[in-house]
Amino acid sequence: MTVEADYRARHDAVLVPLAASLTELIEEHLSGEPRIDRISARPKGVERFLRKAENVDGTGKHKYAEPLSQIQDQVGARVTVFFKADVERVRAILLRYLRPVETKNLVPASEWEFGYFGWHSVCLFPQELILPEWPQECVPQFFELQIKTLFQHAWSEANHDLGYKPDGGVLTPDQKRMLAFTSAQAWGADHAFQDLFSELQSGGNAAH
Amino acid sequence: MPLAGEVFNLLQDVYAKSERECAIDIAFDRANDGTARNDCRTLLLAYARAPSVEAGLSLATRLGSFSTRRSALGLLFLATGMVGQQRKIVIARFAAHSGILADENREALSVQFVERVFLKSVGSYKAVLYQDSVNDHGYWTGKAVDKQINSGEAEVSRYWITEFLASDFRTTSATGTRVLAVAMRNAAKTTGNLEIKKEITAAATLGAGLNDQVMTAGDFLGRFGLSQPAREAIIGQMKHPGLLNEQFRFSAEEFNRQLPYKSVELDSGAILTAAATEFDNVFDHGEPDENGDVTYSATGRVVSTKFERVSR
Repeated sequence: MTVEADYRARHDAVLVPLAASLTELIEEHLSGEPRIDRISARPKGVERFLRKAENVDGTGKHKYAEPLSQIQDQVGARVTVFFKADVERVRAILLRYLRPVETKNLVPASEWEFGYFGWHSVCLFPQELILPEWPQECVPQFFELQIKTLFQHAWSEANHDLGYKPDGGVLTPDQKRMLAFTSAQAWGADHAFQDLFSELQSGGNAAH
Repeated sequence: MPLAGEVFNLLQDVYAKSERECAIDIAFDRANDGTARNDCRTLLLAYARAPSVEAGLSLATRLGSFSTRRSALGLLFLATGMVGQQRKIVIARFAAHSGILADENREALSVQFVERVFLKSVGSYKAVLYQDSVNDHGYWTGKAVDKQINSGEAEVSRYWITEFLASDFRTTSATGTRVLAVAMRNAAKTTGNLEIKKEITAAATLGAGLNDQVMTAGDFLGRFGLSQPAREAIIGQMKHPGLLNEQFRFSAEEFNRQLPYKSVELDSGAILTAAATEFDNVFDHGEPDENGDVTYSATGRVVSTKFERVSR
């Protein structure tokens, strides 16, 4: 079997139902919680998986010798929340139930840069989601969990479409600055909304 | 070591039986800063990449650094082999004795402390099984067994899983408790059998007293002596029966969150308690009379009686 055939088989037989049950589980954990815009989990498409499996490192070597066991985001889950403080709140709830092997707050490398922001984690699938009838070799151990504000999510989606030229070429310096500028605006909007929300919560007068 | 002889046979037996005996699902902890780094896993991966006495010694040295007077002497063995494309590693620690040798020669009885250790019992050991593809993302989860856990050496057990392996149960306290509580709640809600409802309610009322105890859902049901039909009703609400054997640390907070209780106190001193969702099913009551008095009634077999100091 090729990597493509193997992944296609696990995608249809396991990843699709697994992602659906992961969505349900996260919804259950967050049931009744305010200011959650969206909860979703989905399997990585076959084409995107194969593209990632072909990635090379700086020396030109393939990054993944065994992509089926090494690529950890075969299922990705995302919770989109309104404000920055909601990220913390939702994170604390979900980490009561989930077993992460890695958690990180992704921010640009330098304080003088703007780009991708978001909280990511690689978690083990809870045993309750792994059905015994699934072939063991088709069941991934991990999924990727992202918790982001609406603005962080909006920026990353737009960047995904605009940040890479269709012909594989690189953006001009001004085009890159435009993307960084929109990231800075999203960052500023998140801060403004959070400040406003905190002020109103504490009974302050937003007009002042 | 030679691949023959009694010690080899003993270890081969532990290795062969590990899939069946190692039933506790564990996972390595991530580093405090959130990165995917775990010192014990790093040593395990090094061993998996190139099994050698030297790589094994690093794991033994790590175990030694966590050994205390309480955990006493032990003998550590590593057994490894390939299963398809994956490497299987079994780490086993046997309890051991040190020895005093009494040697009677012609002149006198010579007694000396022997700086060697002797296996205490072939049946008393801790083991952990790992089997995975050998790459940077492998070997995060394993399966452990503690054949000393029943001897009351809880302290030693902590030293094996938490300290030496830098791991915890794969199922978090909240998840294990939630799976059990939700299954109980749904079983009580869906069953038409009043006896089952009452059994579940009784277990749920007393369950919170088990806070922080390590158990499986099966242990919980066994502890409260639930009847076979009640067990089946609860297991039937789990996503699969394997969850019955998943080990976790019971959380009273999560249990109460998932299985909330309604309590009614009467001015007569009576306190009536039942699952909030079931309260009106298990207690019959009429409308208050002109004095505001209400009569509650409940029918069922007494499955336990509890004396508790009530703060007022």
